Amino acid sequence: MNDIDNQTFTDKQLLAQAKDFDQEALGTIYDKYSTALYRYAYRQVGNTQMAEDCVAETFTRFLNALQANKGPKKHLRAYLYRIAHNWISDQFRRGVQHTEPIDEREDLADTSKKSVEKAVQTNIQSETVRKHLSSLTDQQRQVVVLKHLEGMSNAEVAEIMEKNVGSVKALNSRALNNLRKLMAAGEAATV
Amino acid sequence: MNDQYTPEEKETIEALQPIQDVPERAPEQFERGKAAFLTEAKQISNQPVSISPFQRLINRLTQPQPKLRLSTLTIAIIFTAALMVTFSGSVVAARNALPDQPLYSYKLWLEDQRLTLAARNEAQIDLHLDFAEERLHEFQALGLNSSDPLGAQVLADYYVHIAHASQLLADTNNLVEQKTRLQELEALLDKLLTNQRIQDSSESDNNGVLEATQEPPGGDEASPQSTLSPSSTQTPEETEDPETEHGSESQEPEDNENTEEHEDNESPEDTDDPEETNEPGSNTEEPEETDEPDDSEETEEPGSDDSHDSGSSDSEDGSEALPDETPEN
Repeated sequence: MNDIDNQTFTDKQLLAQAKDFDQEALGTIYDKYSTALYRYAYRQVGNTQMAEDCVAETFTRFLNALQANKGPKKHLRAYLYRIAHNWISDQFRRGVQHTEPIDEREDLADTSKKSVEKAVQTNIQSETVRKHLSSLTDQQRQVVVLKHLEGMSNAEVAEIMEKNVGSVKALNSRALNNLRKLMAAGEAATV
Repeated sequence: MNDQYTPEEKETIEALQPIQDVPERAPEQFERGKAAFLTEAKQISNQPVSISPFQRLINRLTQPQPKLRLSTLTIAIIFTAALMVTFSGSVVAARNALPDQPLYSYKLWLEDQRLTLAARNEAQIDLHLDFAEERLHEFQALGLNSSDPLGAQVLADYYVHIAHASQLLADTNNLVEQKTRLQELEALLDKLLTNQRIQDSSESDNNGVLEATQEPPGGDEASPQSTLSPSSTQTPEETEDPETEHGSESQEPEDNENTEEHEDNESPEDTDDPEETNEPGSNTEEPEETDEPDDSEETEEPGSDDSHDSGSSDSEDGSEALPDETPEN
């Protein structure tokens, strides 16, 4: 909890400066959260370019909120994650193809044939998991990604989702149950 | 962090591992994104700050309001309402138009539209009869003669409507009321034309008398209107009733022999006329007396018929239309 308090204090200072459009404070905010947001987006959309678009759109909306005297009061990280989550949910609703083709993966450019085969298999598994994730509700998907992929605590997830910890636990339980059913149904369909 | 999961939940969480790994973000992408973000922030910071809502309210109250701007829908509604008012006004104005007025052609056009919209035969017959009657009213109202070009045109329109109505009646059964009305209209026109001929002849006689006595023809000028106005304001049934009453009154003092002769003389004419024999109810007797002078005028039967017909026509038509002129004749 101390980490959260320290982070909130620092974010408060950054936010106070960012509202005056201080370039240094804004640069610090970008350095601090853009990569985490990129990873959060990529785990759900599976596409580097879309993950970059998510980051860019999140920070653009953040600037617009600052200009309108809105935006976060003290929880900057939670605010940014919520914007990113909303953007990703919009993409899912529009039915945008999110999995990146294997031949466009830059990290696999210099790998051997055996590694490529393994990467293809992993890519198929990732696509299956993302498909099941996208079948969950927005909140169930959000709690699963934040808690089990981003590694956040219930308190951090509750802060981002603006819920209490008990609600997060219940939501997490339902999400895992539904995800298990989806995976079982998917395996049964493939068999 | 001390969450306890069931084996199934743990298995599900482990199934998420394929998407746990994320490819390294390209440094140039990071720098490019950061530069774009800071540039955008600088542009936004240079934009003028919007005024407060309170100041905006003050400005709105103090500044003069723009002129009323009507939406497209409002303009369309106003335009449609104006069109409807104009159209209905022109329809009302054209309803009473006479052949010598500019709206008369519009009136005829409206009648054509009504005929076009009438679907049933019965409705079309009624309209044709209405319009034929309207032509007669126009003919009377303007005091037209059949020799006038305008009068001839009005009568031609009348005959067209009568012909259409007759044709439709021939194709349709069980329309006794319309058939009776058609016959009444035809009788009305005959009487109208007969009155005109009598008037013309009386005017010529008056002119001869006036030339002889050198008296001014005062009351004769109004006679065409006065002869036509009663029939124009009355329905055909009403126009025939006074005739029958008058005819009966005029024939009452006469001997039964005259009536018998009258009936004897009429019987061949009546049997020759199919319309009169087909007339139902009380109408079968009434046209016998009304049509008689018309036939006598047109056929000019010789002998005793002339004396009887001329006397009856003078007494009927002259006393009905021109009561002051009958003693002179």
